Amino acid sequence: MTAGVTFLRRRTVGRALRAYREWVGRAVGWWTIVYMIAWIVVFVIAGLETLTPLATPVSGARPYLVAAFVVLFASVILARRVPPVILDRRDLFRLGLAPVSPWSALRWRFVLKVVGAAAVGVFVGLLWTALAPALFWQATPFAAPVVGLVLVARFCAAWLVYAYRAAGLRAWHVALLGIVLSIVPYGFADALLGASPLVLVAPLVLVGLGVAAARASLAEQWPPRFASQSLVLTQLQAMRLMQLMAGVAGFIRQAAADGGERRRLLAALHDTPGATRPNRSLPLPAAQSPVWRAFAWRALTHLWRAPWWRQLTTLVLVALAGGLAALAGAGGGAAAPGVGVAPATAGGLAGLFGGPLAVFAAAYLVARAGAALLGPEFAIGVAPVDPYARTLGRVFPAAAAILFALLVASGFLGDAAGGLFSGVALVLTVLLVVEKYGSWSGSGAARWEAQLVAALLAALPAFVLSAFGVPDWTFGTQIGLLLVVSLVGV
Amino acid sequence: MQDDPAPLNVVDLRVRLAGVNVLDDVTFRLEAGDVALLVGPNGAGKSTLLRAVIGLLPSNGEIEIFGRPNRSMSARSKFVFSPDDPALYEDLTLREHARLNAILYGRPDSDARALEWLGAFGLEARLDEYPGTHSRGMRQKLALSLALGLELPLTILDEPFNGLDIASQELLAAGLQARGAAGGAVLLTGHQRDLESVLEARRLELVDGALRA
Repeated sequence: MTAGVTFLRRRTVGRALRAYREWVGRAVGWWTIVYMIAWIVVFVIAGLETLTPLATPVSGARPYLVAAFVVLFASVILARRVPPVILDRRDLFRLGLAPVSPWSALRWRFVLKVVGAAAVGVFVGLLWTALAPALFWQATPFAAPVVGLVLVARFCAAWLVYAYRAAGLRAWHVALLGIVLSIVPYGFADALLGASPLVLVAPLVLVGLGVAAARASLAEQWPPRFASQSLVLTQLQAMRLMQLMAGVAGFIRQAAADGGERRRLLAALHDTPGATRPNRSLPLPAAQSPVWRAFAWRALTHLWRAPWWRQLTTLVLVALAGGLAALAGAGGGAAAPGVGVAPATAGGLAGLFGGPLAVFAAAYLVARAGAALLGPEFAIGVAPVDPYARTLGRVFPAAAAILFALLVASGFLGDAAGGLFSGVALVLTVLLVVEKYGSWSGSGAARWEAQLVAALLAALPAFVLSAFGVPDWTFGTQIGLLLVVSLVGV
Repeated sequence: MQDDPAPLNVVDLRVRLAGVNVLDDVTFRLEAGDVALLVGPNGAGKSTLLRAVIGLLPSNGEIEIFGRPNRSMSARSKFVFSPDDPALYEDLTLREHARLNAILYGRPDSDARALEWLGAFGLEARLDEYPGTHSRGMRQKLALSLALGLELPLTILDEPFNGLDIASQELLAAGLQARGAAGGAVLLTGHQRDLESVLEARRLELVDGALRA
């Protein structure tokens, strides 16, 4: 049976490597990569040669290094509740359920993780070896292998703690041994401060023990929640990949739309409440409600069910956006210190629309804050939904929040009504453009592209009319632009 | 030329995808009260035909829903479509789906009807859960409840019987039959052998992208 796993890995991994080699060759070119690597090597060598030893070597570093290694292993004991290595959906159903030992099924991915950890450790260790003579007046030839081995041991410890915790047992021996070996003489820290080959003994012992124990943990059966957590982690990885690909292609990233799904998956991953039903809900709009109210409810619900830190971030963004618009309205210079500001005229109007860069900065922040409050994107598709109703509903909560912040900030600043009206026109223009452009282009409001377009368009009257020397016309033009934008039905 | 436009009128429909003719000169018409079952082997073009009918795929030919172009707002307010893979909002509960659907389509009564359908499908106790945690069949039941609750003049369903248990299949068949009896038109796809025994429907057979008489 294990031969079947080997056959599968050779086929799939071999094909993937060939495809990757061909793709990189076509997309980038292997000679280009070699050329870049050569230059990187040259730069690294040149950088190292510029290092000069300190006048006096750094002393007393050992306790800090010991503490770092202790934290490295202690964090494993405290935090590990998800598997550090998983099977994807296909492997889970094809190999995970096949009559092969779990170790055979997981070995390839386990080895990949081990090699990755070792590579990171060796890189960090080499960097340390390069810097140590200048900092400590001490050669550390074994730093790279020791740090590499330590990270491999940490990975094994993470797996063991996860696997045995999932089974209701405590298997902290490797992690605890890691902590002990961080402290003892000729422990890990000494590899970073000395040249004795004895420093290799501790990490080698730990890695040997860790790998053997990890292998033993997978001899007969999988950890109880490994399969379900693998499925959830695979979904989360796929979601991230789709978002990345959609982002690269310029489509809606689904970041906002998938927020709820991601939260649900995370709850399922940790088996916490929220996996099957929401923790909190807003009252539903009446069935007879106009369509725009349904969109407003959806946008507010999205924020209401978001984690507290995202709600707090949104609140801060809204306050900043309203405040910046009010500051720009009051004086212009305060909005963007150091940028060109036109001479102020009556009512702070020129302060806001006279300083085009200040207007642009305020508009961009309003777009950022507004995007966080617009809720999930809604592709109209075949539903008989009026785009005006969609825009009104999605923009309403964002407009209410940002205009309230603007009003409060204007009150604090004692701003004249002219500045307030200018701010209102700017905020509404930005929110309408970011919603309509995000929906029409498919980029989504959460993307920088839609936010930048909204900020540029809203600041366009200020830019153009300032350039022509008629900044007093800006407010009227801004109102005209707002009317035009609100009439665009996309 | 009839006085009342047909719920669905398709004339010389052609769909070409990636250089391949998927549908070729498809012509058919659904009258009020028709329940039409579109059958055919895998890859015959059933789902493609439905997607072209509702305007999600570019096509050549004429597609009218109650005499209006299929992509127009007035046509979209006359039909509801449920795809084979239920399209649901994973961050909304079943109850919230029903309410949102009712408001978006401007049919307040459909909220209660969708909840009735969900209850009939045995999901009454799951109304406040996310659909993401539900099985394929349960998600299908939600999508069907939303579509059937609307009671629009034209109902278009892609493989609606997939994933349903026997009792739910019979319930759905009865519901579709009732829609037809009430004057609504229904177009659905399916290929279960016993489907035609539980559903009395006009048969449209699609083979290699063409309708067989």
